[in-house]
Amino acid sequence: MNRKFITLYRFSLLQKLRSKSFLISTVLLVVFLVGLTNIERIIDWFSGDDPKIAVVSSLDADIIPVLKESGIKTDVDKKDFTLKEARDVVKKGTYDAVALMTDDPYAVTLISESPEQQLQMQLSAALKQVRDQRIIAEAEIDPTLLASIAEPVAMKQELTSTGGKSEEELFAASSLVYILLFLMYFTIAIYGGMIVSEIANEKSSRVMELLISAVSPIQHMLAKILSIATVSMIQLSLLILVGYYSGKQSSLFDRLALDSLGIRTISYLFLFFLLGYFLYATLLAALGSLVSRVEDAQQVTLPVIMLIVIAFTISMFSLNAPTNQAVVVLSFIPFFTPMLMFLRVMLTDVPIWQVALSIGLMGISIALALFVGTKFYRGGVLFYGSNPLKQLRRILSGRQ
Amino acid sequence: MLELKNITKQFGEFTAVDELSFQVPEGQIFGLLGANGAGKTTTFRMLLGILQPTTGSITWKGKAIPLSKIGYLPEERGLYPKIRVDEQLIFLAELRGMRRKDAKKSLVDWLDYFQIPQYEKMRVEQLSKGNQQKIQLISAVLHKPDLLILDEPFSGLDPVNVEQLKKAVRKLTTDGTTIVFSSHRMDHVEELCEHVAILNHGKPVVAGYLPDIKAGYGKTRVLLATDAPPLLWDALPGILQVETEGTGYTLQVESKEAADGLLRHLITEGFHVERFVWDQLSLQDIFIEEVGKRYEP
Repeated sequence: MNRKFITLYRFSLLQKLRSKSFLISTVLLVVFLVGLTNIERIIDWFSGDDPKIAVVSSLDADIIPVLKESGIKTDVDKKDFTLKEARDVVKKGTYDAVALMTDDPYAVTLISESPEQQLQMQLSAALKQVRDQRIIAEAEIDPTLLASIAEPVAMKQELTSTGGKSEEELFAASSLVYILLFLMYFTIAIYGGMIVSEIANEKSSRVMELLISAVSPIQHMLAKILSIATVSMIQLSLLILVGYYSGKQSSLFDRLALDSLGIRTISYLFLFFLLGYFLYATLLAALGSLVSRVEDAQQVTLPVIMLIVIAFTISMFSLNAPTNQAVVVLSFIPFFTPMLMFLRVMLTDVPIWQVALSIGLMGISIALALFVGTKFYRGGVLFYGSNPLKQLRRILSGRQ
Repeated sequence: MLELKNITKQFGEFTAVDELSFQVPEGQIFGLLGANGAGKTTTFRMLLGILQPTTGSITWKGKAIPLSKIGYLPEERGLYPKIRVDEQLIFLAELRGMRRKDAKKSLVDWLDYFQIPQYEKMRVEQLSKGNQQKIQLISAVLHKPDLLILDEPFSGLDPVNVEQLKKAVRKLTTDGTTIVFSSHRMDHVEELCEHVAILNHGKPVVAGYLPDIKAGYGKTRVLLATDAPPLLWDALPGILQVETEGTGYTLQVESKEAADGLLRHLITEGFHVERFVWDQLSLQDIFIEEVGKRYEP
């Protein structure tokens, strides 16, 4: 690491971190994450006040305390409406819902403007409880006997292929892995694309010529890849932190096994993310060096972007079958390793040699990509023609 | 001394530069001329170490050129449009091995020299073309290079800006900077350079000390304004070519004696001579003659 390399790296990093696009995208992603994890509260917020409820009941026992216990937060008034009156008050809006239990004390007619599913469930649960209590009392059954009948059979599941994880744990884990995989896919694609547009920008503004007359193209390419890797790590860490703390407070994410988001998961996530990033970024940088204008970038980088999409798609299908033989085999192919091996490590027991082998293969591929990539880069950065494929052929035939 | 010895650069079967040799003494300006595609930019890129010559050697004071000692103003202007002037210039100087603190000081000095200190914190895209070009020149000289390469430094600028930049170039040579310079404007080259080389399809067709080159052509030029009809002169010995130019004529004559004969003839015949300038061929003439004749099949 010499001084020029650090200068290049620092300049590229600072420009990126201070750029409006980085700030805006970070803020948007954080807002999105906080919003997603708090979706319940947001819906509550918009659904307005809790409904105002009236109960018409002929029961001796007071149903209102039981209703309260079952989770109704608003005031419940006991009234003496007829069916017609009940309809009128709901229409007028005096009450949002009226529960009529006049004919049969255990049959409810619920009158409301629109369906009130939660209230329905609460009502029927409360009524059933009142009725059960009365039946039990009338039959003079020992309540402890009843309690032991109601006790469910204890069941604990153990799956040998998943490292002792139960189905439920597996579901929770795979939901988390789904989210992390998506994050990985998204980040690799976004930051890989960023490298291409950075290089194309430096070429189209012709700064490239000044840069590579001062430093070697290889140094330039590595500094670019590393500085953007740093930017991505900063953003990714921020998203994981925000997602974790915001998600922990949300009931929706109870089933996500967020507690398993420990050091092990994070280390694997970053390890495989970085491996994947370096492989794809090197290829994208090499291809990006062939285009002269940002607008041309897409056609050249499409094959690599397609690979990322394919890897992500395969990993989505593999979520439900992480032990499938095809998944195991594919997880050793460098382009798919970052997502598939991460998925396997998270959901199943993978022998350590397999993990080590896949990482070794990735390391070799990255070295190979760097070797070929720098060759491309050297011939590509000063090329200003309109046909990147022709230039590619020239580089391959050693004429540049 | 910058010395290029038998430099050849081939791209596959295409020869971009063919057996080019020249020397530039320290503190002098060397003009590298040539039509578009003649191999100037390729030569510059080899000087900069971006490209390696296929054969031949380039030395600076007998050794390879250190990258930190070389400054470059590319033909296609290259700066980050959306980044502040001071940020990118200091960055580029640091890449050439200069310390940050020194780069800052040098930048302030140069902005003051061009009387544009107010642009220090502005983005490049906010500046006019002339000012962008001054910033581009500053980016090439900020790190105090010994060898400076200027590829078409004056193209597209108004006369006032051209003069300002010329003045800066002269100041740099007085300070001891060696400059290799290319331009399509022969008058600029003639004004600034002592040594030139004209490239054509990668081959040097003319090279050397400018007064020697001109003297070597033998042929000279007469700028004439008179009321005598051109028909008269065709009969005279040593007149090679007559062209009407504005209010007067430009004649190519074989020798000094032929020019003297022409003047004597006009006066004895009693014509009015408003202007009679005897001159060597201009660089423009030499360029057109050397490069132009090769365009013809």
